[in-house]
Amino acid sequence: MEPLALYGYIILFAPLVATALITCFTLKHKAVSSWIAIGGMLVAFGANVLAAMQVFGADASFEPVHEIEWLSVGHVMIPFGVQMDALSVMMSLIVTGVGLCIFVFSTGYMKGEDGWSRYFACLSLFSFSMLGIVLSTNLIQTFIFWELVGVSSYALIGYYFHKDSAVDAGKKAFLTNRIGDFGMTWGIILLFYTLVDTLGWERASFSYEKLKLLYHASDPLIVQVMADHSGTLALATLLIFTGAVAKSAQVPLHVWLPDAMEGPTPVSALMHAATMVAAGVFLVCRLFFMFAPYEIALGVVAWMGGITALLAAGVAFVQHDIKKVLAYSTLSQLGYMVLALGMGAPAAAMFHLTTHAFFKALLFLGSGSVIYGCHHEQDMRKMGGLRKTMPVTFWTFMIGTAALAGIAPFSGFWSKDAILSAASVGHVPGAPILYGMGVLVALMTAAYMGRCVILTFFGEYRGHAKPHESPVSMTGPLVVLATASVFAGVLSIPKGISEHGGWLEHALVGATTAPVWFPGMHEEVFLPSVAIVGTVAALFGLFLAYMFYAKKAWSIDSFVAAVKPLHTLLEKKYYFDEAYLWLVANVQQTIAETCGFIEVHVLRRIVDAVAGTTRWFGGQVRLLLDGHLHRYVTLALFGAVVIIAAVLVGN
Amino acid sequence: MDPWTFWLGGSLALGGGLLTVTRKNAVASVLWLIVAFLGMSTLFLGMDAGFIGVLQILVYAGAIMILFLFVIMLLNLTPSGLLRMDRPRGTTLGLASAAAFIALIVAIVTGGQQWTGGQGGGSEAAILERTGEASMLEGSVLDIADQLFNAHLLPFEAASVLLLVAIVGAVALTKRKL
Amino acid sequence: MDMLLSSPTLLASALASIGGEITTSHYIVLSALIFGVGLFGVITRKNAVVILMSLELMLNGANLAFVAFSRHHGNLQGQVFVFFIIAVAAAEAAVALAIIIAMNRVKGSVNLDDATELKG
Repeated sequence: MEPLALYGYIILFAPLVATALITCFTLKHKAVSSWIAIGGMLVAFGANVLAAMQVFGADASFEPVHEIEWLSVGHVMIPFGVQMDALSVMMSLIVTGVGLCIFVFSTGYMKGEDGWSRYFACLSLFSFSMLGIVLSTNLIQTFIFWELVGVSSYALIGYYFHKDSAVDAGKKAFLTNRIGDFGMTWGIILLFYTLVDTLGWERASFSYEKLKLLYHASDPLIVQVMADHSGTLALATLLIFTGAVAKSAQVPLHVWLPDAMEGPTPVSALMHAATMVAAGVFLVCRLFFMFAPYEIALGVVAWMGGITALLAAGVAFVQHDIKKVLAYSTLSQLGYMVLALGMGAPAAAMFHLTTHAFFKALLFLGSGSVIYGCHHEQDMRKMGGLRKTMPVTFWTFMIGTAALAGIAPFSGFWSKDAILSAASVGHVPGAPILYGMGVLVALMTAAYMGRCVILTFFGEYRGHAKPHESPVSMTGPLVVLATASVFAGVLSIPKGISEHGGWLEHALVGATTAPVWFPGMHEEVFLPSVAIVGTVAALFGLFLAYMFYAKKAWSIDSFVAAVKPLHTLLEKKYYFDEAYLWLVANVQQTIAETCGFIEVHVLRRIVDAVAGTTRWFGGQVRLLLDGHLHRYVTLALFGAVVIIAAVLVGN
Repeated sequence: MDPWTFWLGGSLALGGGLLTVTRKNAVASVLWLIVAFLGMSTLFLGMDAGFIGVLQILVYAGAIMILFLFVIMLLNLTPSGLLRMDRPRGTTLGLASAAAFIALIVAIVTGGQQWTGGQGGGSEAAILERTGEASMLEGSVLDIADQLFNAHLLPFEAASVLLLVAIVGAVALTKRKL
Repeated sequence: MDMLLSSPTLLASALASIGGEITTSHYIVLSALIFGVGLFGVITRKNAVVILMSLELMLNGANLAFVAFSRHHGNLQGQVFVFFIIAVAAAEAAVALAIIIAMNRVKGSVNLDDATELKG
């Protein structure tokens, strides 16, 4: 095995080893558990840095895929391995890097909580699952880790299992993700079936490398087949995309993410800001070559992202819980990334994913620090003026806000600009509208983040318990992440600004010859007009927040009264939860009751009849067995004679 | 394959066997069974399987049959009780079963040329021709030992464990109080 | 099936060759006969000890066939197999006789018709 593949396996399995060690040996020893978890993450991060140096280094001669045969059933071979190309190494660097910060932060935040060791074991298990998705070489492996992420996130969201709301949130997250996974399962099956049906067992495969070759094949036979079945393949792609929709919390499967804030704040930072929700975006990036040929697929992706970004940004205005604001902001930013994917700019999406991972983790950890400092108070109406008592948290939070709002030169500006540029020149149906929505979302983002910062850090303190600054174990990661949030933009400063720009895009496409991962990707360009529009929107958003909340020149109450129906709609989160509740209570319940009726009155009758017949025959046959050995011997002998005679006659 | 060892051994084994299963007195059955085993041993010796032949006499006729005699003695069954108990039953069924089985085997064996005389068959000359040197099986202890302790060591050891288990089991079953 | 029906004739022809050459088939037929006699004993007798003896007879029939085939094929596998059969038979006899003694103690009889607890 060459070093790169070895790094891959170390990255993947170090957190799992940590989980196993904690679960088996150190459940009783708090300090040891956290050190094992941090150690596992440190090992993974170290291996990741080494891998990155090789992958992004000058010498680009490396073998990105290492696979072993894992399951072999008939013609179908399912491999297991690690894929160490630019995309996955980039992504795993985010997971391990941000993960490491969050692990350290947790040792401060979780002080005095019950189940400390369980928390770190679950956190390590989650990291393992997430890295599994990132480094996976094929659809089946991805799907397995996809489910593992679901399970470990369930355990972490429901960490406070004595609280009903946390348990419910865990279930909601799991079930909502199951809906997406169901679509994804069918997508994988349909894709594989179509390939087998048209190209035969030999060519069909689950491996990304081999699938990529199929989509780029020059063999006229394959090209013809792929063209003939483009409808089916596009459908399969979109079905796989439903998995990404659920995991990346896109409308209409977004309902789980805000509720998932019931978990401890570092968990929210790790899973619901930096990594887990990015899995969907990552998957689409990984499979971009499957989306690219179909305009309809790209269109659906783009519109889904745009709508999510807009809807979620709206709800963020009416939230009072600081974590909920950040949760809806996450939804909105994920919508941005998906929008970029749909616009054919996966590099921009990955760029925004990277910068967002840093500044959103920073914001979540900052909110965690605020919550911790205010004695577990999450309501922004009971905060205020914290900039004096919590200076480190305040300044790092400000950096995160500036990055999220897209203020130059913070990292968020560059990535958001990349997405808006892609949207402004995109080809999907209704691209100009989507561009407009993107700009509007940029404005809204700046406004609600301004509101959040002003309510939390400025003005007079409105709470009761005396706030205090957090310990170094918490502020340290904040500073690290803040630094990253400032400078992450250099990863992909557009070519128009610097001649060394576009590094990320260049790295993702790589020096490899054709078949590429990202066919038809937009060359990233710097459009001054877009940058100006985006900046103006952001500044105007901040200005609005300032006027409404800081200077109070305009009354927020009269504004709300003026748009009462809209406000109610936002407060009710567009009635999604109510609609789903109605769906479950009426439609699903009816179906379930029908099934129950059929089972009791039809299926059970049939089963009982079979069982009764068998029992009757058994009752008759047992009369033969009267306990006399000689009769048994005779029966056995006749059986043998009959069998031998039958064989003889048969021959 | 000397014909006379076959006919002598065969008639001893078959006759002894028939008398074994038909005697009313169990002691008589045991004695006739010993005669049958001696006949079997003759047959084995006639087939150059000396080791098995000796084993037959030592283990079967010697050890196992003595065990049978001891048990019969232990049971202390009176001849009249035996007569009353052991009235043969289902003779026709037994005969039919045995006959069906024998007929089947005979049909298989004589149905083809494989086992009977003739080319590639079971005659002395044919066996010699087919197996060459290997047919000069002395049945020597050395060859068998080679087979047992090299190729079949594990089954051999398993058999020793089996015997141990049988000893322990027999003791456990017959002891009045453990 | 006609093969089965013709077996008495074939047996007669085999018997007619007394004094002639002895082939493997002779041994196999003899082993079948011994086996059949043992089988007859197992089916018709009630005394457990005698049934056990009949079983030993059946095992011996099988042994004979094994040694005959061993010779027929010119290797020692058959003899090794017989060795193991004898070992198992010894174990079986020891345990079975112990069971008979225990049965005699419990039921006061070695009549197998008295031991019919094992019924369905």
